[in-house]
Amino acid sequence: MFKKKENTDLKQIGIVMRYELLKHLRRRRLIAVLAITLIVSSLQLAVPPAFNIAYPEEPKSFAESFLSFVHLLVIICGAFFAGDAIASEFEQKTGYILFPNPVKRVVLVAGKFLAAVISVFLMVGLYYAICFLSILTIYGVTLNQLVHSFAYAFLFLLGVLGLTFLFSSLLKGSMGATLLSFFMLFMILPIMEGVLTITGNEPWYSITYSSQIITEVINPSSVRVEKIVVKDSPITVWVFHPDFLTSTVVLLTYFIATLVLTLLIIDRKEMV
Amino acid sequence: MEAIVIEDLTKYYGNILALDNLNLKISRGHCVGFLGPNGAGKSTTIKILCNLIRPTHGKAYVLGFDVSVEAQNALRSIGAIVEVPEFYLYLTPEEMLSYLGKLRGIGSAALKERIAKVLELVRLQEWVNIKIGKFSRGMKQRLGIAQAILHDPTVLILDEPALGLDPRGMYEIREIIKNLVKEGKTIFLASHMLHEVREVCDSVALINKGKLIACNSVENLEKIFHVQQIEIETLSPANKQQAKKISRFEAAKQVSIHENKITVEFEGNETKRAEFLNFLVNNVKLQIISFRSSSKGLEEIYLRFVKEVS
Ligand SMILES: Nc1ncnc2c1ncn2[C@@H]1O[C@H](COP(=O)(O)OP(=O)(O)OP(=O)(O)O)[C@@H](O)[C@H]1O
Ligand SMILES: [Mg+2]
Repeated sequence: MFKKKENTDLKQIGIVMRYELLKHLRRRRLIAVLAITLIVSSLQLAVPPAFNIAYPEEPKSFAESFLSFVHLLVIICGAFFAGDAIASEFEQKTGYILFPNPVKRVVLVAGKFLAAVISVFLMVGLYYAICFLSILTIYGVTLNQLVHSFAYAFLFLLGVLGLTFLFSSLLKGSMGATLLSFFMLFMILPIMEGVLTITGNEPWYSITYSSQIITEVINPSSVRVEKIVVKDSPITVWVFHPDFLTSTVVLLTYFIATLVLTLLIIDRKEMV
Repeated sequence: MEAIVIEDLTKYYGNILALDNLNLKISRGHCVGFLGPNGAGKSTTIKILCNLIRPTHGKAYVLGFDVSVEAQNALRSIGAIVEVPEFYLYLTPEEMLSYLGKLRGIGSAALKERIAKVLELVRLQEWVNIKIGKFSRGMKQRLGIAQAILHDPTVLILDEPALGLDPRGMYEIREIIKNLVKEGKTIFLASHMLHEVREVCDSVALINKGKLIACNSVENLEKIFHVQQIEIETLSPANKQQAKKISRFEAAKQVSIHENKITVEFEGNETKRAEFLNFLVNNVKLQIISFRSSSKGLEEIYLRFVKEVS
């Protein structure tokens, strides 16, 4: 009746991605995260003058404190844009319409993942742009380290999205997947890192520990490990500074491993 | 070539046996009704055909493609409704169909035209730009039908397509299916509505507890079970003499008369039925108001089969 072009996988990935982006827009999630980004930025800029406190003397200190929110921003974005990406197709039964199409599951995951990456990239990029402009306005300088930091933030967001996609393909419900990834990244891993650090072990393999390179790169410490012995007490305090190369590899590993696992799971998952 | 071939299909959900060595062949261009009680395994079979789930063992082929191995090739020619379909609530029907059409590689100009056509066919043309989140159950079901026929598939696999439709909707979907049959499509129709199956399908496959218990043309099944029924309404009750005359007609196996209604268990094809009507008017001299062969026959077969097996 009408001609059907042979659709390549790549083309289909693009189609899935566009409709997934439309979903983020329509469900107001992009707007919600945009609001969070803008509110946090304005607070960072408005609170010191409001309380008559001067901004830090050094632009680097300003950047470090401003960018300390990136970690949470990426985690929030992950929960918003990836938590239900896969689980919802099964939970909401939309898979009955989507899966009987001649589209590989890999293509669906890739399209959805790209849409999530683009959404988070836009939000984090905006936050960095605000940081860049604030430093330019307040200090009259441009900070090159911001570029490195942004690159690391990008690696972190790939890892976070990978992990969230993995939970989304493992669990039955979107809510469960969203909450699990949020608490894993925001509480469970940081608590585990805290415990390890107290006992003098560097949790170099943790995704959230590695993500500290996002702020570390602004003003890198000259030593990797600080051991502070408190005088006349048995307490030793350890401070670890993540290694850039190791952390880059760790973040990339999280990204690749979780995505591969997601693909393996989703390829076998049955839409009962 | 066979359109659908199901070979020794077995499916366990955990330790629930849903399909038990099911075998079934459907030739191209046929419309086959898929009947069976709740939990018989109809939806399970359909999900396997659409590669939504994998069989525990056995094979299923659509147009020669193994659905578990060459899923993309098989799915290209399939249009399906599975269980109770859900859609993306934040999209309009036009956007939803656009998405699916693009995934299937239909060019945008042709797609636009086709979407307008199928939405009109299922009478959603006035809802084109309303978000699906605002749709009623029956409207979603109509959209389910629209997406199944969107890409003009050669094989349609429909799981209770008339579920939740209003009477007019049910009539319309029957007409849509009849047209598809005329166009030479192959249709596999799971349904509980026997009159619907009787009207549109040329044969039926009956399953119970995951096993095929009968597969034959509706006519043959009725012949085997002598259960075709003809209901006749007359202006005044038939008298004894007339009743006697009717039973003398060879194809009339059993005649019961209740006031103005005559019910005949009948064995014969359409020509025989026409002869019978002629006989009633000209020989028996009945004043007939209505004469119809009822789908009670299929119901009877269904009930007998399901009872016998369980
Ligand atoms: N997700 C599931 N988990 C476990 N068992 C299931 C699941 N889905 C179906 N079953 C079982 O498989 C069998 C067949 O179910 P199926 O849905 O195929 O029946 P059906 O013929 O479509 O019934 P209905 O007419 O009610 O739609 C039933 O015994 C059912 O209990
Ligand atoms: Mg069913």
